[in-house]
Amino acid sequence: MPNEYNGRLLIVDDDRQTCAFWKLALSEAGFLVDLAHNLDEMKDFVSRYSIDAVLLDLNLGHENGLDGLPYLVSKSPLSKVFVLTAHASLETAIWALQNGATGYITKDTAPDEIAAQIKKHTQVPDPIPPDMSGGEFARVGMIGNSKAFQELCQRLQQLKNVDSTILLLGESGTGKEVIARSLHKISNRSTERFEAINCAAIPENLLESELFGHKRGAFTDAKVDRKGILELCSTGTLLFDEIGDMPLSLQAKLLRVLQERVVTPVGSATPIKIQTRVIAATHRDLIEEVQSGRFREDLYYRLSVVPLYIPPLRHRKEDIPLLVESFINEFNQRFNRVITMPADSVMRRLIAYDWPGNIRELRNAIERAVVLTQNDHIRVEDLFQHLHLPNNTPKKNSGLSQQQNQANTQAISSPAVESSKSTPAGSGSGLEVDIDEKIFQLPLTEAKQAFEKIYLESLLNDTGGNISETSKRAGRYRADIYRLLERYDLHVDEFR
Amino acid sequence: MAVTKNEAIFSLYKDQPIYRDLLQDFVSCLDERMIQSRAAFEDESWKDLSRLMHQLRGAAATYGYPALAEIAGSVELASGQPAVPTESLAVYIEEIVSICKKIEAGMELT
Repeated sequence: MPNEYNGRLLIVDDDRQTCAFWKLALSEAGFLVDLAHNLDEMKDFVSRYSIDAVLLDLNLGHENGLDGLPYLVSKSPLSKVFVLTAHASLETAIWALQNGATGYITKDTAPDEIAAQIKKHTQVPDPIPPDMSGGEFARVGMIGNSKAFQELCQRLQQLKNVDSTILLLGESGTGKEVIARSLHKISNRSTERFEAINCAAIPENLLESELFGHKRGAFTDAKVDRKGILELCSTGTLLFDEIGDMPLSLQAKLLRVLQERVVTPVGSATPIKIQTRVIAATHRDLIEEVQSGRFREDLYYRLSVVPLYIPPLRHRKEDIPLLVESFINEFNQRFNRVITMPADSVMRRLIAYDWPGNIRELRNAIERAVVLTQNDHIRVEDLFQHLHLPNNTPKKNSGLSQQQNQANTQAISSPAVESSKSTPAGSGSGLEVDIDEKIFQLPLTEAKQAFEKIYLESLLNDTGGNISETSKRAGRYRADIYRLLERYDLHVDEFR
Repeated sequence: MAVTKNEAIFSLYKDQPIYRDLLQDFVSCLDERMIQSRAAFEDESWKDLSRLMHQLRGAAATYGYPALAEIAGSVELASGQPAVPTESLAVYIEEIVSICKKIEAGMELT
């Protein structure tokens, strides 16, 4: 591979010889190239790595490559997607461009032209000028105006040119990768590469080679020398996402890298000096991980030179309107919609909700709402669809039909208790609760919320809306119960 | 029938040494691709034939053989028709075999 490094590419094509050609040609042009032969492999790569560009074949044998486009746009929004095909079809090209693709490349295009086209779209942008205001932070992808957000921006300003390792701590979905990228973009390394690697998604044997590189013949599949991401990113910034999930054996090797600033490729005896700035992120409590023996204490101290806590969305609710506006604009553009900002009543609901899945959950909710709404405005039920499962357990003594309840409260209807799947309610209780099949089709965070609401309603039904008794049975403080009532827009009077 | 030097077909990338090994691999696999394509034709597995021809079309275009890509594209299109023109396909496939031989000859001369 040449010394020039232009970013990481993923080629998705079912023909292995075609892949081999592009891999060689584009590696020569300074790209780190990975291959996927179907959409499942593509999704696997996208979950593991931060990919600068994807060359997506239109026809993947039994699959249509375009079916993978929405996934890429949604899960890897920073990747530039180029649709790659044997023939140019204007109709398909237009569809692809309208749905988030950056460009359209025919397979008879010369490799150097393709490399130039990809470089044009993936080159590192001009550095951001110093002394950024909050508005300028928005330019690097950070949105907000709350006190917590401003404090975070101030810390980033202080840290931007410090080479010390930074540890980003925060719940899932708080935007740790966005913050790491922003820190890189405002730093004096902004013209160099930023790479991110998900330690939880890569098998242990691959992770070592991925980080440190390997020499030809180091293992069965090592047909050529390959530089590791630490070396490729030597003058840039590398984010170790989900560092708490890194295997113990690799933690020792990473510690050595951080201490000595050298990497030794697998199968090599020659160490290579690096200057990579390391940012680590995790949603885990690393101290607890250290105490339980799952994380090395020495590595923890090495990583946590500068810890930075990213507040959950519920602690910066003032930012919700700005985030909503930004997401609506983004999805309007992507889905060719002209959805307006939500009405005040809807916005109040958005602000009242606690967003346990944080910004990611809010973003998903807005995307879903923009796609689903039949009008030019977003309704509450579009936003909280995952809490809108059908209701077979009418509330006691509410005096209102379910439809009326919904209309009156604009609330989330009571999630389902349908006879489709039986799940034991607590080990050894002997009781069985029927949970709607739909709950099993939801992402875990949303399924947990749907269940939480069913559970709370069930207790309120049983206790006749008695908060003390409900809190006792749930093993929670009364304040917790009130918080949950507010979150799910439940009215205790309706259970009395 | 032997292919003359004048009939030989060369890759657009024949003068770029880095591609030499890959071009050799591609050309040496053409026979296998044609065996599979002929089998799909004999079995009237039009979906498989269309898929194989699509792959050949893309690979040929990638490896710098536009003539092969073009005719593979014609077979891909024809085998995807509701009423597959089998006689025309037979002619096309023989033509592809002939082009492949010319490509093999070109590789030997490179």
